[in-house]
Amino acid sequence: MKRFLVLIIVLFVFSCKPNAEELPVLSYKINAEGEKETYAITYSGFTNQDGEQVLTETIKDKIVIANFFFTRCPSICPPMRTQLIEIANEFLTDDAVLLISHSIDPKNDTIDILKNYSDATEIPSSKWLFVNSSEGNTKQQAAQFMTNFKPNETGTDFYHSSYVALVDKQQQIRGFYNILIPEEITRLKEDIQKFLVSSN
Amino acid sequence: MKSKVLKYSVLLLLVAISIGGIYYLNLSNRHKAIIKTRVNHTLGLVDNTWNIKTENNKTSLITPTLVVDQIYKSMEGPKVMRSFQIDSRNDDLVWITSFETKAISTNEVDVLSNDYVCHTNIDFYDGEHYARWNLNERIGQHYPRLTSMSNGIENYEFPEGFGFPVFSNENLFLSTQTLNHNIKSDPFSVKHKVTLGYKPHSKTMKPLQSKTVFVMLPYDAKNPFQGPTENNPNMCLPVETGNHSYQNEEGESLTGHWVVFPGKEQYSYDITHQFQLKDSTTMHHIATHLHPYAETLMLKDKTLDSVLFTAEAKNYTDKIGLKNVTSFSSKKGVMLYPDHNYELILETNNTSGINQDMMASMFVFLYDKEMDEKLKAFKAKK
Repeated sequence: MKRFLVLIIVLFVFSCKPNAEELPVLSYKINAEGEKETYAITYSGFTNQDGEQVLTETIKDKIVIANFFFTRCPSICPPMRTQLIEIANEFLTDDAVLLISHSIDPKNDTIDILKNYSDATEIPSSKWLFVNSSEGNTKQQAAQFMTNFKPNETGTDFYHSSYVALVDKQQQIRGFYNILIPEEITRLKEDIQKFLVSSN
Repeated sequence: MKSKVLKYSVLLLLVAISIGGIYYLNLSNRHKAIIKTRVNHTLGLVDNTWNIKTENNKTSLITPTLVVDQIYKSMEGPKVMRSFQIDSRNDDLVWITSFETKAISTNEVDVLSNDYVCHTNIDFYDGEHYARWNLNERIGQHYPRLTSMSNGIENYEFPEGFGFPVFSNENLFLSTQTLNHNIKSDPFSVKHKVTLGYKPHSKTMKPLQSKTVFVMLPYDAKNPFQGPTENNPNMCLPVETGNHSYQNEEGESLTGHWVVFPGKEQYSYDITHQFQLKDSTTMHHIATHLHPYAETLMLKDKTLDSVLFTAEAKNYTDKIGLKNVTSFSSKKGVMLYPDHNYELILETNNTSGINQDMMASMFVFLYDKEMDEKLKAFKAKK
């Protein structure tokens, strides 16, 4: 009877545990042969707001929330920034969680400007990286994150997505979330939590 | 000392409640509905859960309860939104072939009048969708709306052999909003049930690409809600949605949502730039979105001076609402050309005697040759 009770309790605990496995691996492309090819996110040629290189090693064993932005952005970036500050604060003490914002305007977004932008968030730079690279390299990085950016007709803004990507500790994309929608922020937080619980 | 703290706390609370109350009372119907829906769902005052099922090649989503407590015109009513997947546990290529939206009772069984459906939008995430197929240049080109159903067009299916290909774990996004033009009685509750029909992958299926074209009209950006304007004496913005306002290359403000005054009116708008056709292709389906008091929306090839399709709207005569709007559907298709100009012509007849609001859009589904080539090469897992 005792054993049976223990079994029931164990089953109950495991059934309540959020399951990160149920989140699909979304980082794959259909290659020229028509086959699915999964890939892991890599980093090369990026520098963060502290002037340090950001490499694939930087995101090893991290749960990454990634987006693309630019500091002069008049449209979607300010509300996205507000939401990301909230997420960064919520997971401030979880060392595994790392935010990375990629500038799509490297000509203007110098390291100094990124540093000022980062300081204004009051989030430690170890928790939230603001990174830049050449336009070509940033385009390639955007392609890894399954997104794109381009200047609008007037040159005052860029098309860029309001979605953020969630990357697991194996550097695979496991979710996309429209950060401008409250319900999507809730879903993102829940999914981050699933990975945190799974890795504990 | 304690009683002073208590006194000032109560005073502060009363001031905060008064300011909040005044602020709330000055909000538009639309913003009040957002707040009321959020409070209802957050506090669990009504059923706040989604019921999502995928079975028999259909994915259905039943919304949380939406409380209709007053007249809600277009874009004003309680709404809910969420992302979803057809089947998040599998990664199979499937073809979406049909759409349906309906208002149902909170028991999730009884079907109610579709007078309570303003619109149901289904979007895809273009980054995820196109990047998988290495079509990155398409990302951000168009608003990634797959379709929209509304009062009058509540369901449709593509012609046989056509569909929109997605992977079953791909993110789709649903937004659905209530409408109530007529019932002024006590508050009542509804849910929306949205169903997507799909088929398993088959090499014989042909992919469609959705392009949204819509009438846009100029307005005075400095005084948007106080029309009429000098540029066009017949319009101004009815609600402060922002989503429907645009600036053209000349910096002129245009809106896709405007006011129609009592009487008959005709509006036309060149939509060539909205189509952004790179190559000639065929058009196979059109779902039209109109508001009450619209009579016809015509899609015209201006270059050939030829009418390609006219959506006819039947209005109720005993209440406000659209009974039916006709759709275009053709397996053979109609040719569209990148060097032709296209136009939408809308005819309205506002018989209500008071101002009404209007939108006129077509969700046009075109054969997607580039995607078809990718799909032909695709090797599905066995």
